[in-house]
Amino acid sequence: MFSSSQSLERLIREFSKLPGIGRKTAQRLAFWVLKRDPKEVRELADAIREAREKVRACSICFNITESDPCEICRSERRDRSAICVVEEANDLLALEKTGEYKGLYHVLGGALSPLDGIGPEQLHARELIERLKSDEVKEIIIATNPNVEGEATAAFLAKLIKPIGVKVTRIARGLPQGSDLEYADNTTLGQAISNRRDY
Amino acid sequence: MFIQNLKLTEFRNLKNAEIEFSPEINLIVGSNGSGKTNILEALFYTGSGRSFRTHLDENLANTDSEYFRIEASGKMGEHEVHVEIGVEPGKRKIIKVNSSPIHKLGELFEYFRLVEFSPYDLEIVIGSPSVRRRYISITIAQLDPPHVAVLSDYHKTLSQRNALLKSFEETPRLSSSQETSLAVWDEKLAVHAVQIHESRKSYIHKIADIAADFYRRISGSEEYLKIEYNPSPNLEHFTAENFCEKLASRRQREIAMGQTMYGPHRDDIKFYIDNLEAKSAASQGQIKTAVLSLKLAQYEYLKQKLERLPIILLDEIFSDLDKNRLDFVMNLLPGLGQSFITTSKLSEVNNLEIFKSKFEVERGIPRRLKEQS
Repeated sequence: MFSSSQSLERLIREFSKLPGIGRKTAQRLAFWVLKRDPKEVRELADAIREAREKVRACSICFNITESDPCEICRSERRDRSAICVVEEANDLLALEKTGEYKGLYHVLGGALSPLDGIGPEQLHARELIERLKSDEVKEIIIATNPNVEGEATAAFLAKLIKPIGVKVTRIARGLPQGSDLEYADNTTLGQAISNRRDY
Repeated sequence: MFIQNLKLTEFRNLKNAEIEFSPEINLIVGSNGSGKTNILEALFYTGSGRSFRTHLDENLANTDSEYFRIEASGKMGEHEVHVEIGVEPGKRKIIKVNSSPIHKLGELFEYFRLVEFSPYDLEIVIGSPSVRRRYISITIAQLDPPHVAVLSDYHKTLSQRNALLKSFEETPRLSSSQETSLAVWDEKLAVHAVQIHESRKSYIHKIADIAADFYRRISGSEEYLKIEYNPSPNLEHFTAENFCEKLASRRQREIAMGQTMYGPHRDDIKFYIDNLEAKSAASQGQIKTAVLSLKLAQYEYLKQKLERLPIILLDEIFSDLDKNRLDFVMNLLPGLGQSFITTSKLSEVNNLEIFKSKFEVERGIPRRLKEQS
């Protein structure tokens, strides 16, 4: 069913392009917009445009930033001897929230997936190797996802970096905090056992 | 272990059915197309999330329905188990055990373990290798549920590697970065291939003798059943290193074909009767005996490993097996734990007294048969 107004129809179409939004939800969102104060709607539109225009990728680590290089790359309090490699900027955000890590980052922009046409050239892998040319970096921590594609990407990077003589580590896989052993799935539990550490 | 209650919604021709079973021997009577085999199929599905007749879930939903639902409750030792499976073909299966959702299919294999024997199983001997691979995958998963995750990672890696090979089609000489990419996928594939190879090799090795023994007892002859694993590639030492080497030896061909030429996705299992390959040389009767022996060996080995009696499903054995084979199975039955047997005619069954519960299915509606006095 198509709505009677062309501009409303256009808005619904635009909303339904958003991830996870189907036609029904798009319709709901569009009607919500129509009921709002025009000033409020303008603010939303401005926020979307401003974010898109001002936010870009850091030219060093490819994190999203408004100032280039990004805050982390510029910071003097960060440990410049370690670079943690992640697939997406979301992953960086998640790691930052922990407050555990004080080093630098490198956002690959995805993982190797020949099925989706993603090879090393489609990722920011060469730029990572470039960063290792200064002797500052002593360790690369690979924090790609623990799935088939993420593991292949980790192995690929290790093959590239090891000959340069920089230490390569992979984040540990194990048990979630606050859970019971008996409820853990076998794969996770198996890995937690084989990757155990001294106490 | 046993299944006490089964509830089906929109499952094949069983639109809405609920059945209470006996923990011992159950008989299901129904004419062709009544839905009796569908009940066995649904029971099997509660243990593996799969059918033994089709690998397409679309075929399992009632023709008027977009989805189907199976609920089974029973016991494993002291523990109550309640399995709920909701399937909308094309979407992710929703599986719950004791009301908690299961996210990995492998976890479902921890509960009801079922061994099935039906006329469809002749395909294991005479059908294509993919039928045998499917059978052995499900069977090993029953013994070792994490095997499901290994298979899934292997197949994901395989698709990725094939896509990479295809992308090299027009490349006369690989760049060093392309070489490295391929090496990464080779190594990942090799790790999973070795795991699958070892599971299959050890399983077939373990059941081959048990099956040969059943074959001799059922046939009452000196014929010798040999079950042999035919792995791809056939290496003396199946290590990740040797596997990668084998892949490298066919690299040009792999790139030309856009396909991985070696690996467990090309495995086969061979059946020989007195050293003649059963697929081409055996009689219908010999093949039936071979499959029955394979299934009984599977049951026996599962029982030893689990230290519990698996559930056994026997479809149409009265019309399908001759008297000797049938007598053999009927004599085993009382020692096998919970079992489900179908027949199209009640008159085919001699010793009705061993069946603790009897059901009749008519056009998708099951009902309990009253005890005859």
